[in-house]
Amino acid sequence: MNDIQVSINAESKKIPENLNIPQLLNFLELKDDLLVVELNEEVVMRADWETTTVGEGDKLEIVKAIGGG
Amino acid sequence: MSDSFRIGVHEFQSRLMVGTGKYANDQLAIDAIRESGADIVTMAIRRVNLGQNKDESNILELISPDEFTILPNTAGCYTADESVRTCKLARELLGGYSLVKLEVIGDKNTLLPDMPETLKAAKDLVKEGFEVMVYCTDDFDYAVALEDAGCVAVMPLAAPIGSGRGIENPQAIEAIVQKIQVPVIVDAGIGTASDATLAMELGCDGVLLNTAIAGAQNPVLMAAAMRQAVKAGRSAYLAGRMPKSNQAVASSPTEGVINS
Repeated sequence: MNDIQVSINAESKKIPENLNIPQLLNFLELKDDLLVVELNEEVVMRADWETTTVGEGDKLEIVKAIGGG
Repeated sequence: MSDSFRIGVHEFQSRLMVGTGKYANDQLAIDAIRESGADIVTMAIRRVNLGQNKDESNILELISPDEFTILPNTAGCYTADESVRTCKLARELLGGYSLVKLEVIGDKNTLLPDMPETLKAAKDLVKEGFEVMVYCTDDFDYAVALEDAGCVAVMPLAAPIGSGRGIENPQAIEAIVQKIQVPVIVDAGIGTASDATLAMELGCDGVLLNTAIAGAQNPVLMAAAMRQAVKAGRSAYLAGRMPKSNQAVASSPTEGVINS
C-alpha cells in the first residue's frame, strides 16, 4: 500500500492511501467519539465518515471541545 | 418564584452562565460549575493533540451535554470566516445544537472585539441557521445592529476579558438594556460578586463569567457567591430601587421625641 502526504492540524503527515475517516482516526490512535473532522474546510458529518476517503494533498482539521470562557 | 428567561427558543432557569477554562483541574471545574447553578456553560473548540494518549479524558465526558447546555465559543478567532468554520465544527460536535457564542477578537493584547468583523460574522452565522449570542463592546449602535442582524442575545463586556475590573461603563450597559429586546448578558470583565449584582441591577438578563470563579482562591465558594449575587441583583431590579436623594431623609418620625 502506498503512502500519501496530507496536512492534519497544520502538520504535514504521511498516511496510507484510501483511508476513510474512522480508519484515519484509528491510524492516528485517536478515540473516534467527541471530536469533529473537517476536510478541506468543510465539516465531514459523522454519517459520511465511512464513505469519505482521504486523498493526496488533503487538508484536515480534527478538533474537540476544551475548557474556555 | 420562578424567574426563567428565554434565549431564542430555549428556556433557562439560571441567569448565571459560566466558562470552563483556567481551572486547576477537572474535578474543581465540575464542582464549581455545579455550585454556580448555571444551566449554560461555555467551551472552546481546539485542535486535538496528535499523538495524545488515547485514554486522555475529554471535557465533554465530565461536563456533559446531558447535564448542561454547552455553549461553544469562537475564542481565538480573528475573522468572520474563522468563526463561522469554528461554529460549524461545534454544531457537528454537539449533534446539531445551534446555539453559539460568537467572539471575534481584534487584538491579542486587549482581547477587545473587532466590531465590524463581529457584525459580519453574526450576519453570516444567522444565515447559516445558528442562534448567535454575541460578545461585543458596550457600543450602543453596534448592539442595536447586532440585534437587527438576528442575534438571540447581545453580550456587552463589563471590562476586558480576564481583567476582573467590573463594570467600567454602567451607563452604556444601561442604555443597551433599555433599547434591546433580546436578552442582554454582561460577558467578560466581572471580578467579584458585587459586579455581577450590579449587572443585574442595571436590568441585564444575565451574566456570563469564567475567571471570576476559576481565578478565585476558593472557586467553589466564589461560585456560590456568584449564584447568590445574580439572584440578589435580579430581585433588586424587579423590586425597583428607592429614589436617590441628595439630602438625608430621617427614617424615624421627627414628632414625639422626649425632649421636644
